[in-house]
Amino acid sequence: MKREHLIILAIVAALVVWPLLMGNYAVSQANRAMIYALAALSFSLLAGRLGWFSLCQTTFAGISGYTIAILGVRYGLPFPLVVTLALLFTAVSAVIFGLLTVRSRQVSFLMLTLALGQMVWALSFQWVDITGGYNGIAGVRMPVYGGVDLNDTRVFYILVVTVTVAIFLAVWRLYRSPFGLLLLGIQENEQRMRALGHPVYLARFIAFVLAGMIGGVAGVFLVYDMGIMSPSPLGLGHAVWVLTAAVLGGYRTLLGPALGVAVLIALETLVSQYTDRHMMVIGLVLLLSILLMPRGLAEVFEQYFKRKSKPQASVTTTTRGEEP
Amino acid sequence: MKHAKTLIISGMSALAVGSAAQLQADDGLRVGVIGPTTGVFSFFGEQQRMGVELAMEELADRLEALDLEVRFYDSQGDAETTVDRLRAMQSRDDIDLVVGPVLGGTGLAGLEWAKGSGMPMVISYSAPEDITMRDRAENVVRAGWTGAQPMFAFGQYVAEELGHQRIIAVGQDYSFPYNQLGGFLKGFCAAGGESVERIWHPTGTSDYSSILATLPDGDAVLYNGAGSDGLAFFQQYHDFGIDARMPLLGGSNFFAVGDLPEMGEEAIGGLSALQYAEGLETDEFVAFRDAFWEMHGDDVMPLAPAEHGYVAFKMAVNAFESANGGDRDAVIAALRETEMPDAPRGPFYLDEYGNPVQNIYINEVQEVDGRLVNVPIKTYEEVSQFGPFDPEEYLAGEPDSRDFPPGDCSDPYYD
Amino acid sequence: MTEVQPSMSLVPALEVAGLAKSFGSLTVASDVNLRVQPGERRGLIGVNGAGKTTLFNMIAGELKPDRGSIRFFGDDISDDTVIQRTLKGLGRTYQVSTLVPSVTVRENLALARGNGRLPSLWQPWQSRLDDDLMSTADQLGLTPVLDETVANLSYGTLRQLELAMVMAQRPRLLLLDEPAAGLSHAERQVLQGVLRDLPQEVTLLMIEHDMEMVLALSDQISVLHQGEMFAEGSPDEIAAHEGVRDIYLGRANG
Repeated sequence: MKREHLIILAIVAALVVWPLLMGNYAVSQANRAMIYALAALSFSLLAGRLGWFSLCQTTFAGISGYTIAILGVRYGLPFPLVVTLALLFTAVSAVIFGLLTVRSRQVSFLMLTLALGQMVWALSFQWVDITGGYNGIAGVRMPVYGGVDLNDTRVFYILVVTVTVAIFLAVWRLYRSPFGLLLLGIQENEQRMRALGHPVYLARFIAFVLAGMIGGVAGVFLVYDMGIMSPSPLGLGHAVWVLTAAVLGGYRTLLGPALGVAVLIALETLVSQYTDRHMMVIGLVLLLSILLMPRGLAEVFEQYFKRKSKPQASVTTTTRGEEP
Repeated sequence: MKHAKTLIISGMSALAVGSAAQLQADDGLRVGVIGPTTGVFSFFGEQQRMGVELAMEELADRLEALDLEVRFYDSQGDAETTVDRLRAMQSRDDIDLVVGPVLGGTGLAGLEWAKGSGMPMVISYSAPEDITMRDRAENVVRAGWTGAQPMFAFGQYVAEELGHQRIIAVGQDYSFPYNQLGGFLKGFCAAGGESVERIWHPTGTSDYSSILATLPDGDAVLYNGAGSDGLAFFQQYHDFGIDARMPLLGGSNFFAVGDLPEMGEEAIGGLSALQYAEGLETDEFVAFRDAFWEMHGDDVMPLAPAEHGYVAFKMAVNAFESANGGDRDAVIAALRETEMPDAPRGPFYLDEYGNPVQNIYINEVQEVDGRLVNVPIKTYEEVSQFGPFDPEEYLAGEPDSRDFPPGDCSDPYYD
Repeated sequence: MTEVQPSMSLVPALEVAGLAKSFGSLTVASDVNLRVQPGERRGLIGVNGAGKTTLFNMIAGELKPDRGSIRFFGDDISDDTVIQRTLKGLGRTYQVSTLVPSVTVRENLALARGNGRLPSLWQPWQSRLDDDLMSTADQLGLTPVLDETVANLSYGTLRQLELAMVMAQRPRLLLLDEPAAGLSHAERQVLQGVLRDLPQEVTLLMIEHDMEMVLALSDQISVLHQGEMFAEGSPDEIAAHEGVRDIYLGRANG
């Protein structure tokens, strides 16, 4: 069995054991962590593979969340239909945003996604008839199926964990696919990929839409977790939080974003119990970790264990793929 | 490939964090106070905290008898953080009652959570009317107000006492100002007003010249907004010299005492309405204010969020006492029966929907001992969240929005 | 451009007519005409700044000319994109190449042979490494470094990889931009062997400063000077050409 498979087993085991050992609050924290891990994965897919730093990945979560709140609460559509439509609408939004951003690079991409994100945020705030404005839309609930209340923290956990693991596995395969490789190639040598006969814009566009969809899935869980949809998750603060988590954990790796989110949430929970100045403490920790580990926690761990275990394998700096 | 140990380690540390968080349990009572003590809106959360601290000091003996402990939580002014902290209160910290949240959006998020958890909750300053109206929950009551509540009286006052017929309403484009103007309109039209023309601007607007240059004619202008937007509007309104033509009336937060020094002498005479006034001279209020200054220093004026936090906490303690402990149903029942004859803002009791029926003060900005403060010049007593209207009828109607209720008082809606 | 090989069709592999390009007041090509027959090995020389790489960029579609046309096996490709030209069989190497520096040689090879379509999102990337590709890599001596990160490669190896990537595309016309620059003597020998062994149907247009190599490999040599074709002829003719000696060989040897 390969090491990669061992890791996956270990993670899955930890995720299975967590709700059995922990109290309700810890389980709801894990739910939040997984939701934000998806958002951070959505960010990292673009940042790590394409060098595209997006400030609108949480916007996709927001679009999907609002779709659910509006269709589910205002129009009372059934749960599976609402979720399907939410993902569909997120995909349509991602296609539109993707067409607008596909030709941009680094800073202009960042600015474009910032502008798009702020536009949607403003829309959610001001289109009161549809979105409920600042107050948002309350009462977003999942149904009870055959006596099982999907809103129950632990039942919800099972849903979130299944989907999150499935998405991480899919992205893991994607990172190891020729497409994943092509994205890296585009980041490092776009012109060359074109000369090699690869459809650069199409690949970037597809990556953008896929990342948007992952954000959309995060939004589905986010809105059901909160029970209310308001403009706040679409704000710049949340986008920057996700960026911070991804950078802290290491956006170039598959698990870095999840690690970053877990660490950040654990820090917030822990520190805020002891002091009101928790934002300062967390800021300081972030500052230090980014100064000391600019490539993120995951890569630091990776280097550390590589040096300890297999010094001869230290030629590659990345972890894509195994030897055939 | 090489992530295994990373994950095991992070998993272990997360486990450790989580399990440390699990350690709780003794049989005393616990109150969790939640508000934004960091971030852009920390002023409001800090006011609430100071109010609660004052109440804690005053009630120290009773707290000891109840074995009651208080914990403060920071909502960061964010709905999601609010829900997370509330979950921590319920499942981690064994909290028996929540005081807060403070802001509109966090209040609604808190209400949504409280419906699922059944936790007794005394919402303090958060003002969306549906918290105690269309979305009300048995276990949630409010110590503060709804956005429309002071404005019913203000509308009536403007029509009856000032004799204004046509009002130009400028305001920030979101739900709180909608609700404020909704209350104003309902009171204004019922008292014989003619029309209100609405102009909304996005929050964060700093240049009002295009609005001011094309301002229609009316008897007065009502500005529904606060903070930096309100200040900028106030200054540009005077720069344009419109104050000579039409007086400027304020929404409930417009002449906030913190902004008055910057508005300067031109603010003197400015009228607005609230269930609170820092210029009150009742015994209850003076005692509260002096004790507050004693505790927190007299450079901080206790404002409505502080008083509402103070009162909310007292309501909680009263409820625990009459329930003889923390039994949820008993505490909730006691909370709903709340009467506060000696609250600093004036006497109030809760209506059957859980919102205070209280005095509304028409406040005028005056200079008192070198400070600009809001001094009540007229009091409307026992105003409920429905104003002069029948609750059933009010609830059956549409909620206030950008263009509801109608701006023309001859509209059939007002018949 | 006199000799037409009897087995070849009369349609030239590459026909550049009246190509012109200026950057502001700087004219880099004023009226370039070039005709390369199928299967021909053509050397392109000229002093630095003569406009050789600019000409390549225009042929490959990376730079839009102000005037003139480019025909590829009779097909006017002047308005085609880079990818369209690549898919029609036009391959090129770059003077300064980095490919994808953060991954291995093997992974870079997996990126060769784009076909204008999106590669698989699900298969492992290794599925793109077929025998054909691996033998091309082996021919260029890349086998020992397959698992090295490209960023760690020596310059010479990098150039070999560069060539392997282009050759894997099986181009009909191969534009080589100074393939021997920076190579050791031994590496040049390997390179020369590889180029000599290219199938006859591959047409070659090569910018190169190593005259020994140009003279040995080329059927015809074109000399570009100040944005125009200055001379054209067989290696012997060019070597003997007075003007060329003056402007190019003289300086190159001096």
